[in-house]
Amino acid sequence: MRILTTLVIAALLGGTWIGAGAGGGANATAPPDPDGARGYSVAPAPEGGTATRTARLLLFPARAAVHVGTWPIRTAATIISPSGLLQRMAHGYQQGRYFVPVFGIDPVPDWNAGLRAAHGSFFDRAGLITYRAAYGGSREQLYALTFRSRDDELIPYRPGWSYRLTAKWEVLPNKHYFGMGNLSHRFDLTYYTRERYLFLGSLRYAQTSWMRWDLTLAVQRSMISPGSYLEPGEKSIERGFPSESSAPGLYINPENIQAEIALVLDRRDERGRPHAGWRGEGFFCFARGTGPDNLDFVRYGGELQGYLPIAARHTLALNVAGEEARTGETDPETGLTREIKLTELPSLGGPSTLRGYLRDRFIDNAAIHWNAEYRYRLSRLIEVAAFADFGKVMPRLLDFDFDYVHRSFGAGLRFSAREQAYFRLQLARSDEDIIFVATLEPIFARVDRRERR
Amino acid sequence: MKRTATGQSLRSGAWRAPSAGPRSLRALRALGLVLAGAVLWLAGVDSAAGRAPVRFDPQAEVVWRVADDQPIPLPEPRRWNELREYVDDHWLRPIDALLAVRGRTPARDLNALDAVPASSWFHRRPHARATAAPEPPFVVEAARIAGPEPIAWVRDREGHLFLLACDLPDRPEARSAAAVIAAHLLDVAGYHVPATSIVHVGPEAWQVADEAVAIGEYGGRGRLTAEAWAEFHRGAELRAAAGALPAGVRLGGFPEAGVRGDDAHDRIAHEDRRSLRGLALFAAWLDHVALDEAHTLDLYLEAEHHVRHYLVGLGSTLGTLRAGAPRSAAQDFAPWNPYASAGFDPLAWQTRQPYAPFVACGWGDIAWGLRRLLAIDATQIRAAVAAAHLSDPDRADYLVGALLARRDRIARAWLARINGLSDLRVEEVEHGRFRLACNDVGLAHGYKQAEDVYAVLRAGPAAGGVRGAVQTRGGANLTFDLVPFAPPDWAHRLDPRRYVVVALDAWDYRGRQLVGTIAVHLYFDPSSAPRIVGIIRD
Repeated sequence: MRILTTLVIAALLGGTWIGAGAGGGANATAPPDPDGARGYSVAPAPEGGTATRTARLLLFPARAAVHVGTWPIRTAATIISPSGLLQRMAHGYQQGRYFVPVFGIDPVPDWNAGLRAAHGSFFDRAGLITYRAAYGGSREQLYALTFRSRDDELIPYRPGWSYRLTAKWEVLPNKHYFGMGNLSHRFDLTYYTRERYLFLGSLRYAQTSWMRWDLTLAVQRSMISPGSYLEPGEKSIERGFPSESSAPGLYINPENIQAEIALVLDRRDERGRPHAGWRGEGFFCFARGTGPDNLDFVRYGGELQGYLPIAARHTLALNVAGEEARTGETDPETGLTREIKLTELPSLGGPSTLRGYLRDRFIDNAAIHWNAEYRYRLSRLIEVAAFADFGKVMPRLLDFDFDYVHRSFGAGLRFSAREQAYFRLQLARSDEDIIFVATLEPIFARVDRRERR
Repeated sequence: MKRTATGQSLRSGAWRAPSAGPRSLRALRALGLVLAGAVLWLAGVDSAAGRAPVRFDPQAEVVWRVADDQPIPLPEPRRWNELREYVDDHWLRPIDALLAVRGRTPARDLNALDAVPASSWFHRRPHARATAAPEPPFVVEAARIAGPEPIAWVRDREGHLFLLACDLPDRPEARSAAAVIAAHLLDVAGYHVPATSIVHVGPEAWQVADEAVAIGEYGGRGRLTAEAWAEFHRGAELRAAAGALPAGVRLGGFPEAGVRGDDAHDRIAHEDRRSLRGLALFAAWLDHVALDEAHTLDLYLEAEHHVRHYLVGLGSTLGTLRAGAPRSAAQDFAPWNPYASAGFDPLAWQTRQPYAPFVACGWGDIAWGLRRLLAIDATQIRAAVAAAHLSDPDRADYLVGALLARRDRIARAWLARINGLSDLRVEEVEHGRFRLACNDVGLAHGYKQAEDVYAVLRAGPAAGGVRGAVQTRGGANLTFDLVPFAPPDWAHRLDPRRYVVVALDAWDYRGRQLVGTIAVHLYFDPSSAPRIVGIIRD
């Protein structure tokens, strides 16, 4: 009776291995079928339930489109690959020895094409010298040549001294200006021409693998003049802002020597694509006027970035930065505080601050902005991101309040490896513009902002 | 007039439902609701119906060899393309996986005991093969003389095929030593590699075949002339690592994902092979950053008429490709080679290009790889380095030290993150009373203290409500009583109660985080002792 009961229970409970078990072979070799060697009597169910299968069905057109879309790229890659042209370029770029054409899109000047080249330094074994030359289309032209020695942005830092030397010359025939402060209007758009020489030497001392002091000496001279190559309906700066107070620097060109000290604390895990850690930077700069302007001023500020690893491929990046330029000098005739030139003032707008606004859209003596980004790493080289930027300019940092905070939102695609940020495409919108940018500039990078100033 | 609680009249025509927008919008919303409901219902049905639990055949013998050595027709050679692979690795495969809603799949080239059986992919010899040095003269059939990885396919006086990994002029002994050491160690681990030894070849010993092929650095093909070859070896004695291969037809590398369609034995997608996933640990250990299809070889064996899968191009291991600018501060301090343990982070290490099996790697694959890695002892490592015949004994000592130190780093990094219980077995405590015993790999190899080991055995979900079977163990005593799971003596041999699934959870120290569960399938055989019939680590 017990045996009978057992058999009935076995049948009812579905001892599905029974049949297979009875006929189980004694062969220690299996055919090369998938799971053939596993010895299942009940194999695992195929992956995914009905919901997964439904999602797959719904996503199938997109998947097919990806395959069709990448087919020409794969075909082209197959043809080009044996020549090694692109591989040499890519390998060189990763090793800091490269000669690459670059192409970028910015709302103003629309597009920008140029060359970047780098080779080993004459000064030290691990050093680099890089050259950049760019031409920026019909709206705004830019020529720049940069010598930069030694790639000193490694993480962790190499304890000891390092340096960075830059010489730059740029001509911006149609640089835009909207006036000072937060309340300037989009339709106040005017243009001016700016020509600038910059010599910048930065001596850096990494005290530990994550703490570095930067001592920078910069000599620069700018020439500001009314815009050239204006099209009908476009205003020159002298028509929109005819006085030195509304456009400081229009009639007296800025020329100065700047000395800056900065402390950088970098606990990020990777440089090109941080996933965890933080980075903080504080700086103080003294500028001594050397030209007809002869205006001394100081500039100071700080920046803090945090990277929160939400999951293996998900990162929340937060950034807050503030900066202020001040002078104690007064005009002997009027008794009023003298104005720092517009090219020397903190600004907001552009691909690293408020991304839904034009570059240098808001200018004043102080600026604060904060950003939040959600990043999802799709593959080792591709990252998608959604971001929100907030910020405002003001006469002093102490004047900060939450009135007139400018906002922009957007999303983008980044191409970066652990140590190198290559390229990013982003679309951002604000209450003024919808801006698509393709740029080589890294995100939240103050060094580049300093060189652009 | 009759009014509702909200004060609206119910008189005909006086009351209208609040509008939810245009009719088309409402229809769309309704359709959306119906679709969402259908999906939820289907999902509910799916989960409610449940799936038949996985079962192993208790009567089947454990498979230790896969019969993939039967004759097949000659497959077509494959031509690897670096840029196409780049597009696939970085763009196509990740996006495709995302859109295909494809999660991580378990490894499939396993036997019932979660081990990899011997096959054309993997062998189970515990020791490295003896190698026979080739005899000059050497006939060069093909060579890649440009770039950082010079190689040559040659035949010796006996007509045997060899793959030479040649040294670069500015890095003497580096590539050849790396090729020999890596080949010896991977051979011990179980991978098919050419039996490799060091050769010194004088300029007079070379002959270039009439139809010799010059392989470009990036895959282009041309004609190899005797002049070009002479320019490469500069009329001097050339030191190289010679990897002996059986007679056969070279078919190119094996694809890192999917299968080779024209090989009837190639039935498991390569990214689902544990032997390739577990290779991630060896690649990190040996710093095989260049691992990709071009560093593998499918060889159609002339005598046996089937394909065997090799790892080749091992001269690129041990830091020989990292000769450029130092990538981290730690590398500056390595005495002769960027291959160092300082600054090596096993969790962050990665190949130059994503390698599909490594991307699919799970903790079970890591655990398998780690067991294979730790099975290689210091004597075998010293023997491998000795086989490289380095002229400077300090270099050899440095390499042995670096290999041991990097292996320690890998073990320490991963053992805190995976379930390291292994060597599962059933022991008889006293007559008729059995227990399930296992070892912790970290404890066995001295990477963990006894108090770091914390394991819990519990009845698996399909154990049929077995009575209070949660047992907690820690330290070195990792034995679990099987009495609570034992079926009644009178149960028939086919009674499902004789088939028990238990779960072995391992936690990191102090039970802070679950680091993996092993499902152990047991069969209580009425005619003998209970035995393990299956193990699942994914």
